[in-house]
Amino acid sequence: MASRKNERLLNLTIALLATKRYLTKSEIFRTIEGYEGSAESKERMFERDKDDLRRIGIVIDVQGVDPGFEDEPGYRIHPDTYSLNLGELNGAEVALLSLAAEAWRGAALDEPAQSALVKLRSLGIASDFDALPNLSPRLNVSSPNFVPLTRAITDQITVLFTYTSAQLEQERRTVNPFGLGSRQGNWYLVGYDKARSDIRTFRLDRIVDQVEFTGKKGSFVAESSFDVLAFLDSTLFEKRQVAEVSIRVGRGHALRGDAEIISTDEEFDRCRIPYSDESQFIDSILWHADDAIVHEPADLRDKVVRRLQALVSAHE
Amino acid sequence: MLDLVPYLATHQGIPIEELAREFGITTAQLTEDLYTLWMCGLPGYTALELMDLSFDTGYVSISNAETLARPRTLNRDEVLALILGLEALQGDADPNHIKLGETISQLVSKLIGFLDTSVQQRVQAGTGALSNQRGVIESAIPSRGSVEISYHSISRDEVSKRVIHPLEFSTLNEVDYVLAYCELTTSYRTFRLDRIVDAKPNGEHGGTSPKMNSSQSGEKFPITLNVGSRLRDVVERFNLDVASQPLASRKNLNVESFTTDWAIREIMSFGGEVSLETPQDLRNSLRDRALRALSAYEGSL
Repeated sequence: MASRKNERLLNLTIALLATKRYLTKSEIFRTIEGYEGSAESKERMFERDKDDLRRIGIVIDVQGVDPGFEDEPGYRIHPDTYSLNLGELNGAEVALLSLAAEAWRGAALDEPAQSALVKLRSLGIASDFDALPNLSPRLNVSSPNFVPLTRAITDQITVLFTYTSAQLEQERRTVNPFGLGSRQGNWYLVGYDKARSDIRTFRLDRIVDQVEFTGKKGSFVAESSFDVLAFLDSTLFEKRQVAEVSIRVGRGHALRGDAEIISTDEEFDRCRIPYSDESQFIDSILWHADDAIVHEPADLRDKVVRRLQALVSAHE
Repeated sequence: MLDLVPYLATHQGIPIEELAREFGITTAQLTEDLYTLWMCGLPGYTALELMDLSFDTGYVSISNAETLARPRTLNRDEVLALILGLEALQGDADPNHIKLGETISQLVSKLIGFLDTSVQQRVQAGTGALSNQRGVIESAIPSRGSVEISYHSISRDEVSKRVIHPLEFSTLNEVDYVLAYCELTTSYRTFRLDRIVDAKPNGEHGGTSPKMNSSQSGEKFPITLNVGSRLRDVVERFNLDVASQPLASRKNLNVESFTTDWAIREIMSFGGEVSLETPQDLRNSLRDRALRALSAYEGSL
């Protein structure tokens, strides 16, 4: 039964693709195998078949065959909209696209990446992997919410989800999702939090369970040129401040990433370190204990000293 | 099934098992699909119009299938997967491959044409989107095994291969780190997980393995913490299962660590909002460490 239906769908696709002109319904019923039964049941079959083809992304073009007989529309599938056209591709480019698809193995977009890979391989262009560095990269996002969220973002659908707060409480958040992006190994959702009436950023791995859609397509209007990475950089990662810190020689690799050494002696390198979030920067200074000593800004230095005093008194 | 035809057209004579693997289905399912395809073709449905398949020898070929011979266009999720994959490669690629970067940008701009224009900037993979290989590294910790990594050093702008003996994970400034003994520099140091572009278990054990003191013997030891605030950070840093910690007892958390030095640093980073209750000797070392840091501040006034 299923294969009879598949057969009919395939034959319909082939016929609509091969035809140079629009085929009317009666032509379709007469020539394509599989349309049987009463006029009414043929009609129903055809409607369902069209929906099935559209669901898998095939564009069926409909047009009145003769302007005088508008009740008899014609159907065809344009080969241009049906088939893949990426222009000229060389072996190195195909290899690179394959690597991009392979990077999703076991991650959130595994399935579409693999079907894209099959299509790329079907182009019959030999991959030139010698042109690439020898890597087997893997994307690090496996959240089941990844695909639903990209859909909610493109279709502008309000979402509802449970989020783990800093105090480990499970909060329900209703958000108009603007964008999804990664920086420094984490993925973030950015959106307008309705209860808080403000734009907020959520780390994807702190969203608990499944995201729910609460609105219809177009349930909010998003800014037309929202750039998620630019937003994340300006809010979370832009390094606006610079501290002067002495780092013990041979230590503090985690702090040395963007550091510029301004002077050095036997024991310490005096460095200028740009940072973004002050409280997170204090955490990393404290983590290095007596291997990292802040000089400037004075305010930062005072805060570190106060935290160290708090540490001592908490452990008396 | 539609995607089978173009694949076959460019892979004539492919073994049936290989084809099934490529499409992620069983050979039985595939055989059924091939029989269905065999019955299809252009209206008329005589031998002239039907697709011709041969697969009874265990190798699959197709002919008379020109209408379906080109692969179907990419759908939204497929395009997104490719673009994000390329962006991730771009973000983490060896900076010396300038040509690679250019090729990636060209491919991305080609693919963006398939999407609604607004999507492009809304969903983006930035730096560090590639897997941090945490799994490989994590599995080496209990056995005190070593891992060969390719590490992308931003400060030196190069990718180097080295063997490390991982000890612990940490998160500082929204970035994940692993503490490890590094054979290349013969020292303990931290590595950013998002800069480890490749990792595989190193076959040989103990060859040039580092000297471990008793606190690094490979056995985890228990620690109790008193948590004032920032519960989520504690849970994430010590990799605790939230569900296993009943809400009422969340003030006092039991965590585990392999190395005393690491545990002390982790707790110090909370700056007094989290205190180490037991073991007592660790508690004392933490206080001494904080006092030492304080005296460094007094000295530098």
